[in-house]
Amino acid sequence: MRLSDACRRVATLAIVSWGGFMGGPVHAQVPAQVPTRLIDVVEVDDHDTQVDITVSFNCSMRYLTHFPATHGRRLTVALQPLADCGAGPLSRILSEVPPLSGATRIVSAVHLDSNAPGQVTLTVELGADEQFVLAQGVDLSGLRIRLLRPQRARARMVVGGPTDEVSYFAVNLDSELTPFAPAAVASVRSQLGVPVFVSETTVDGRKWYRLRAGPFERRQDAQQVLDRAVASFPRAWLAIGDDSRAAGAVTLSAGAALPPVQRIGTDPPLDPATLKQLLSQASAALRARDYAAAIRLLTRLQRQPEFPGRAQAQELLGLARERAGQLAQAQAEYEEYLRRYPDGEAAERVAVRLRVLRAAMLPGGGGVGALEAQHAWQIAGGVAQMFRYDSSRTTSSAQAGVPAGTAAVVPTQAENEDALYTDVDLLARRHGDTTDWITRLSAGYIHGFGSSAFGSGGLGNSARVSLASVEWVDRAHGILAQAGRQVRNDDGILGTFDGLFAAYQWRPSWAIDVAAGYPVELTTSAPQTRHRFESLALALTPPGAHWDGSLFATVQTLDGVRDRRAVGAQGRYLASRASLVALADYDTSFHSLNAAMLLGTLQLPARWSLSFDAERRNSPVLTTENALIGQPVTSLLQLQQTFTLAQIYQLARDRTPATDAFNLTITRPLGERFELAATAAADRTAATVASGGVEALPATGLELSYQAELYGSSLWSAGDFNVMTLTYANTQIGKIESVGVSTRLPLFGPWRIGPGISLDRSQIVGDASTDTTVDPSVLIDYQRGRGRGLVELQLSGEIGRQSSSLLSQRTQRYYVSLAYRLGFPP
Amino acid sequence: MNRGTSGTGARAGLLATLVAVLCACAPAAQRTGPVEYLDRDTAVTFTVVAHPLIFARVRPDLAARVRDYATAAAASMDRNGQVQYVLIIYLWSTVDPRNEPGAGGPAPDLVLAADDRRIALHPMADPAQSLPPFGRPPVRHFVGAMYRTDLATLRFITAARYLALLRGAGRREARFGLWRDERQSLAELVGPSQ
Repeated sequence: MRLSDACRRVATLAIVSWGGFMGGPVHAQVPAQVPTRLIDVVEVDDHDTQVDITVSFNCSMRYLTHFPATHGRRLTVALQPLADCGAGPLSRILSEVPPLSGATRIVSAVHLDSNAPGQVTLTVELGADEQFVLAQGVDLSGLRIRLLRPQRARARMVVGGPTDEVSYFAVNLDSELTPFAPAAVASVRSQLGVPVFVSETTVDGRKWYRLRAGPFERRQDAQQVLDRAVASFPRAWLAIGDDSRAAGAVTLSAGAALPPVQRIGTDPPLDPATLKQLLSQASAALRARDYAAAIRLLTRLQRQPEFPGRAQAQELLGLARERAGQLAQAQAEYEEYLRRYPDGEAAERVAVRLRVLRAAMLPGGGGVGALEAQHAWQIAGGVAQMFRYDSSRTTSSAQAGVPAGTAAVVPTQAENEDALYTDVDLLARRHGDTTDWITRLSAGYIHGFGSSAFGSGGLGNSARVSLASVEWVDRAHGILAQAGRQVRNDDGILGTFDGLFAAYQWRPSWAIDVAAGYPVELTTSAPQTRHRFESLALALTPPGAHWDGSLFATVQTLDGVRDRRAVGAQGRYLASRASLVALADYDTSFHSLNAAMLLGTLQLPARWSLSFDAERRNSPVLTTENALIGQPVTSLLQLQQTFTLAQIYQLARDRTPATDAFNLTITRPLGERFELAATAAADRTAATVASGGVEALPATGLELSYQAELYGSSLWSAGDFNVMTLTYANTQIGKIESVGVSTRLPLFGPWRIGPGISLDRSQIVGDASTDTTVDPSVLIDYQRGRGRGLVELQLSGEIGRQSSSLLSQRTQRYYVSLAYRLGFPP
Repeated sequence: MNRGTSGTGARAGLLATLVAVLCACAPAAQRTGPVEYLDRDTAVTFTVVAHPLIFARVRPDLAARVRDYATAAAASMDRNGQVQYVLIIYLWSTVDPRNEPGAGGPAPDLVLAADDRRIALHPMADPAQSLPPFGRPPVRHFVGAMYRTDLATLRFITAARYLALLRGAGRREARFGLWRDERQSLAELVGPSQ
């Protein structure tokens, strides 16, 4: 490659990317059949009950094993790319930094590498030590990693309490023995963008002044503010509802000019049933954010003589006034509550709300805006680019002594493929009193530069939209609805689709999920409506139990023809020392078991851990569309011109072999810095029969592989990470032996360097040749904060030689990748 | 709690105090940075601060220069990759336990007073886990236990301006003031706030 070419590509790195993405021609082309990137998107979905990390692949990937088994801060998942990834048992896959969506602070970085031939390793660096469980769905193009948060509710959805029950969290930024200056308070308020107030407390006879942010109704909202504030306020800590207890009685306004409140007993008394109904209607209006109606109803109740629910009505009236922005009236109602019910059930929280209200009403306090800041839109996301240059050169020659013309010597081949990937992700969230809105976008553009020796064009240009959805959650009624382009890998749903998903939790333990839409086969294509599906699932999550499960049914059509009709079940069992995930999917129209999977981990004595995966799958998932495999047409409508429907269904069966796979991994720490993991895997794929003009494929036979990995941390310096991998596989192609070493060493500050080298040796059955390859590489990266900034440079090469009795072939390959990601807010 | 048989009188108390000072100083000359210790029985790896915080309570009601001491060493416990933070607290005294009615018994609940915070500390009930051999008092009879805490609290302690340790409550409350401030060691263990 000429130097001028390299300079041109570097100089146009940003310009071309933005021009191509924002204003250049966007071709909704179908790219080369083999995907250029293995991962389409990694989506982080943070709900109240759990965090789901969904990895969407651009082709089929078989899960092999993962490490560590149940918890850690760095998760590595070994995967085997299948045939539609364009990879074989001997392939070394190019590294990539995949697009990340909704990372927040939960996922710091994600990386895909190849540590052994025919395998990739997905590394997920988490922001904190997490407990997790993994599972693949029916379709092998997805992987779900669920982070377990035991302290959260175990229900699948949080059904929020009524709005008149509030609990308070606050962030204590600093405490002083002298009052805080108002200007300092205002400065902190503008810095953090949340309400800030000063409370007082007396400890050991000394009065302390506490500068606090909040209050917050949800702990995680307070924790987010604490995470942001701790750098500027090193003594910041999370306070839980301690203001009223610490500060004593709230001073009521003495003759302050507050609006008058309705006088008790001015209306004739109503019967208890009517009172109860009015209170219920007022609560419903408050939940529905119809504050005018709520105020009207509650004011009427306020004029009633004393009755059992009057204190609650008084509190709700203050809350309704506050939500409606009538701060002075709200203050008056809260003071009326404390005057009339000083020992009431809500006295403490009313006192806290009164303090916050007064702080907000001070000059510079922010007023309604400060209180509503908690309900404002929170926007986060990132921009990432990855430039890749991949050049390979293959030369062949006949072995010495071989007569001319005996060996088919292939002319020298040179291939360059370079491309610029630009990705954008956006997550906008608004947390309301009872409803949440979440919008997600993950999109990108690939600009191909390179050319092949066999023609021009290389990768081509294409735009992708992996996620584009709006989600609405009504916590009070237990409803969730998501519309747009989204990804799901459970309840029989096969990955990315354009459509609607809705969930309704009508009991703490029971929920119904429904989904309908159009499956998306390529995120680079425009939405299509030929393919449709509907699914229904019933989920059970017993409170306090260690298991949950669901039953599902799904129907799918293609070009008006029945494509898939399946029922299934999935379940999880989680205990302190064991976990089990099970899935079964049965197609009732084809009478075929699409998938049966059992994945488990077990903590054994003496620090041993065991994980296993046993599965039987139709590979690919059995659908009528499989009948198109090997056919010269691209739609079922065209195929129906040659075959009857019954014949098409049989063709689909014939093109779908079953695969059995079994993996067993044991791990054990060795001393303080090492950990050993050993994996044995076996899999076999059945044969297919010849039919419809498509030839039969033989069975693979039993393919065995063994792998041992030794992990070492802090060997050379604090914080380094080292891996040695030994692999042996006996596949239908031949025997493969590989040894590799890689390391990540801290350089200075957030910079790290990662040299690595691997040696592969393969004995290929087909031509009795021996293939020896050396793959050196070096990775330099810079990570700032958690997911806020990343720069990565990777240089790697592949030097190989393949020798048979007739032919000798040399391969030289060089690969350069430069990537960055900027996250916001900073 | 074991009952003491140490010598009596102010002379013994002074001698013990001098020994305590020497023992507190000696590690400072020998150790820098957190220390790792692997408990081979339970496979737990401890990372302990090089120098503990030392709190002291003067007992002028008994004799001059007689003190009760409390040493608090922060540590991380790594059990199969699961890390939790603890305070290893020893309570001991230069007072002859025979002069202290009611002395002895199990490790008590304590309160760490840090600025305006009162952080409750409860001894961990884990009979299988013994205390690592660091920071033990230079006397024969003492009470020691691990008290569960967390990283955020330890970081707060490094930044707090006022520290004290409280034992008991109300009229029976005993207040230990910070006698030796080794929060630099604590900062080396917990690192900076993110």
